[in-house]
Amino acid sequence: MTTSLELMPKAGIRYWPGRLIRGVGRFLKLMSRNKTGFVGFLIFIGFVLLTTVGTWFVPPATSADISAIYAPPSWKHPLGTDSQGKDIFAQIVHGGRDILQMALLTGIISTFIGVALGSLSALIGGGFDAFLTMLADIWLTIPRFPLLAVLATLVKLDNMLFLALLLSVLSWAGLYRSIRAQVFSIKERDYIEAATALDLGMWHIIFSEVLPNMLSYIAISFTFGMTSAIYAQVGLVFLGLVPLTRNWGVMINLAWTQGAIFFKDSVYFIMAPVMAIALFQLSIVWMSRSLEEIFNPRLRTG
Amino acid sequence: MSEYLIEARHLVRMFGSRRQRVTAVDDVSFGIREGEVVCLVGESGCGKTTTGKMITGLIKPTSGQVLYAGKPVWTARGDKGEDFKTYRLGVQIIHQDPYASLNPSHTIYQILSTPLLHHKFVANTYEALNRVVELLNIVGLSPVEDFLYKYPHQLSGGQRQRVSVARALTVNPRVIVADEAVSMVDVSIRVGLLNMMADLKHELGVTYLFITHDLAVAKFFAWEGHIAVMYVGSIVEFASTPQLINDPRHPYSKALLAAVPEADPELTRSKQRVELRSQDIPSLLALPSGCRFHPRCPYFEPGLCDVQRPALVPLDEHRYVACHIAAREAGVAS
Amino acid sequence: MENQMTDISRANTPLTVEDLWVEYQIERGVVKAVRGVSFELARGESLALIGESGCGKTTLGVALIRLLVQAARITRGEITYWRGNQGLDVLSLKEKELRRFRWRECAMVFQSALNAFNPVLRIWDQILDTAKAHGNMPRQQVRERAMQLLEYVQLDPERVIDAYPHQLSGGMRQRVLLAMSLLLDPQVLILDEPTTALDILTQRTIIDLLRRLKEQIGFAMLFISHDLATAAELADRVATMYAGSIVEIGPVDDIFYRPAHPYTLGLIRAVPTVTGDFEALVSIPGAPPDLVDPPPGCKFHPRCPYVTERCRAEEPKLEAHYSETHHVACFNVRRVQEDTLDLQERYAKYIRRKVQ
Repeated sequence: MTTSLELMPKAGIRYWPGRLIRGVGRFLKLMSRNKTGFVGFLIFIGFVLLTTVGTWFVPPATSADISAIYAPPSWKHPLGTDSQGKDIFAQIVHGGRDILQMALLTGIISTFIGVALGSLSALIGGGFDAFLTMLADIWLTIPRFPLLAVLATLVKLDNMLFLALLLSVLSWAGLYRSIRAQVFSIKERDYIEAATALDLGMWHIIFSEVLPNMLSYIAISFTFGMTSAIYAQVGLVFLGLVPLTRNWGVMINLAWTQGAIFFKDSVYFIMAPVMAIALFQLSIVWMSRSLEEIFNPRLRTG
Repeated sequence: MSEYLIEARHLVRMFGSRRQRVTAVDDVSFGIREGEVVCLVGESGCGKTTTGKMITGLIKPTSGQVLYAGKPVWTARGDKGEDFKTYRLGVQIIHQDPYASLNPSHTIYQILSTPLLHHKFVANTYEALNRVVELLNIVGLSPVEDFLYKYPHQLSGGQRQRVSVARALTVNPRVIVADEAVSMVDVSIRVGLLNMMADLKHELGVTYLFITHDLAVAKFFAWEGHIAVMYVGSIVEFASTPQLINDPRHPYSKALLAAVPEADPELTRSKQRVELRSQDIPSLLALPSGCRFHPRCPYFEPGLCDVQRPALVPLDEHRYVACHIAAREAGVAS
Repeated sequence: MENQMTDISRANTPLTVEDLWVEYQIERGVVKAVRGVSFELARGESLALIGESGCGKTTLGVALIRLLVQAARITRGEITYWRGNQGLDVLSLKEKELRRFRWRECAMVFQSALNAFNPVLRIWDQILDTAKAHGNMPRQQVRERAMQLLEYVQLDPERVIDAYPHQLSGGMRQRVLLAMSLLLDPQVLILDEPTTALDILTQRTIIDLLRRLKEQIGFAMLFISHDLATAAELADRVATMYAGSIVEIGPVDDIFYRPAHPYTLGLIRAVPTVTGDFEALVSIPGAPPDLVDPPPGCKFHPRCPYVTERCRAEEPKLEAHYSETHHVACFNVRRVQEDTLDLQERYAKYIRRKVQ
């Protein structure tokens, strides 16, 4: 018989930078399995870099320049200028951070709520489950955006965390339902029953048996939460209901009120933020394809 | 003190809502002595799996009691007491589907070491590894290094079932409930799996409740034990395996044995058929009166079988039958 | 055992398969699912194709009616259906002709009887659809024939024809499928695991029905099964498949009482009979080969107790043994033979009992 020491799992690299590099390498390798997903991932990273690191290099467009109103794209203004002669590219760079942060925050909070309520509901069952399900059903019949718009006129939504929380709470029902269904189906599987017979305890069953098999599902829910948060937020900003400055939504609103859709010259003014939002959304949707594969245990064999 | 290690006493299990209730298991009693095998056979929907899960404590009986080592399992304390914990680990289950019974996101080492560490059967991961290696050798998965760090989907169906057995053995159970454990495994692999499980009986003294629809497998695995034939929620015949296989007494057991094709052309050609009066299996929602088998039974006696439900009565030391006709022939009151 | 028919004239063989190869592409490489299979199917006979999962038996069955999945392709071989002396080369058929050919020349009944039906259509609509897709029988005639066939498979036609699939039990659905497959009067019937998912008593009615169909209608039946008992019950001839090839083919009694291939013998030794005394069983060691990268020589050699140097280097061909009808692909037939004395003994006993 082989001695057990030789069979111990390989210790691997002990100091953390090496581990991190290895981990990132493995992540990238898995990400790149799905070509579309990888492209989405690259665009997503591009946007993140542009709106964070980018702000150090591109000065904000604060001062108006009357000599360059609606200037076409040039080396000085890669995306042209707006009705006040401000650089559009600079506004895109500086106007994305709010949106990204908000999307990320909303994604995290709504996923947390959905996963927590959905799995508890499915695992506890009984009256608790019946009550939450009924609540979710009623909730889903309420039109979300109009409610949000009404709320925005009543409450001052100038705090990003508060807005993210509000968006998450408003969207809990859909996510709750799909997570609950997923946990229900996993709960019925034989290996969960075996874990029950082995008396491994509720915590082990939730965190070690159920959740790992839902990661791909959770990742999808997370990206879904992000995209819907962006739409809601841009919508609110566009309607002027949320007083956030320097934001893609604000840009569209500004371009709209300036009548940008009527002038050929101002096409960059309105199209730049629209395209930025669309491309960012697309990158998230594409990226979710790779995430789905990464968290599928059948692919984690390498 | 009961003579049985595990015993079912008048187990009843109903399913469904208040408006529409069905009785999946209706008054099932039997016992298994330590180191013995009892095989539960019957067609799909006869309640054999539900019975198995009640024996394992995964389903609570609607009424009746499971006794483990002579002590009732379901007490006022439900599944919280110390006795329940002993029972819980003492009775383990092996499932049918090798593709659903192992968590796809854990390696074989993780699957086997988790219960060991959780219940402190081992002090540290080094000891856990030693024990895992030992278990893999017991279930015939060697060389162990080929399996330790594999994921379930990298193994064949037969190998996965062996891992399931090893996982059950981590907590040193005294009883294993094998629910169709070999029916999804290929013929050439099946015998190896069955022989390995039979070896556990001799080497570790494991007691088995073996659930199957396959009479050939039941005969092979339970030759020294007993077979219980179930029909629509109840046991209709309980007898030692050779008796049941070669001289069945209940008309349903007779029909099953006459109908089953044999892997031997001359034998199968020469079999005497039992013609049933109907092919329809009764629905649990509309059970026939009296004996549940009477609408299909070739020996049906009007005024007796459709009126009075026969009880499971002993015909001799090793055989119990629930049939008016068979009891009368043996000179026993049903 | 030797009294099986040897004269197989074309008029009596509705199906001939010649050196058929099927491959399919997966991520890891090319799976050689069927490797050089040849056989003939005679009128009124039933041939059982037995083997374990992944041996290529279902791929072969599906290839015979050219219903292979997209990734699969037939790389070599001939499949011919004969009517009189007229041969129909299936591999040269176009898509449109194929539809006419299926069900007319050859019908296939699949394993999962439930999935074969459209859940929202009544049985009658499904029968009518099948009839329409394959010919232009008038509606009334289809109805009459359907009623006849349903009665023939021992169903209550009035009740079944207007039922939805979910209202029927598994055994009833299987019988409806059989009735439907007979609708266009095919010469060849292929059955994929016809009794696998069924309970014992239901299985019995299907087996009895199939035997009656074969005897009364007299078409050729090929059934694919992993279950030796069903084969023993239903087959006139048995072919054992391993790793994509037929390794032994012969009359049913030859296969069960005088197997000449170690794999066939291994299967027989691994399956207990239900009635009778206890028999010790022997498992076949190892696992079926990887069909992307099969071992050299005889594909069974890594699991074979009779293996020699020659087996590792050279793949044996299917050759006649004992009689013209019993063919085996093994170099060590004589040694395998010595180990089947108990089976031969058992057979002799049966025969003696019969004579008395």
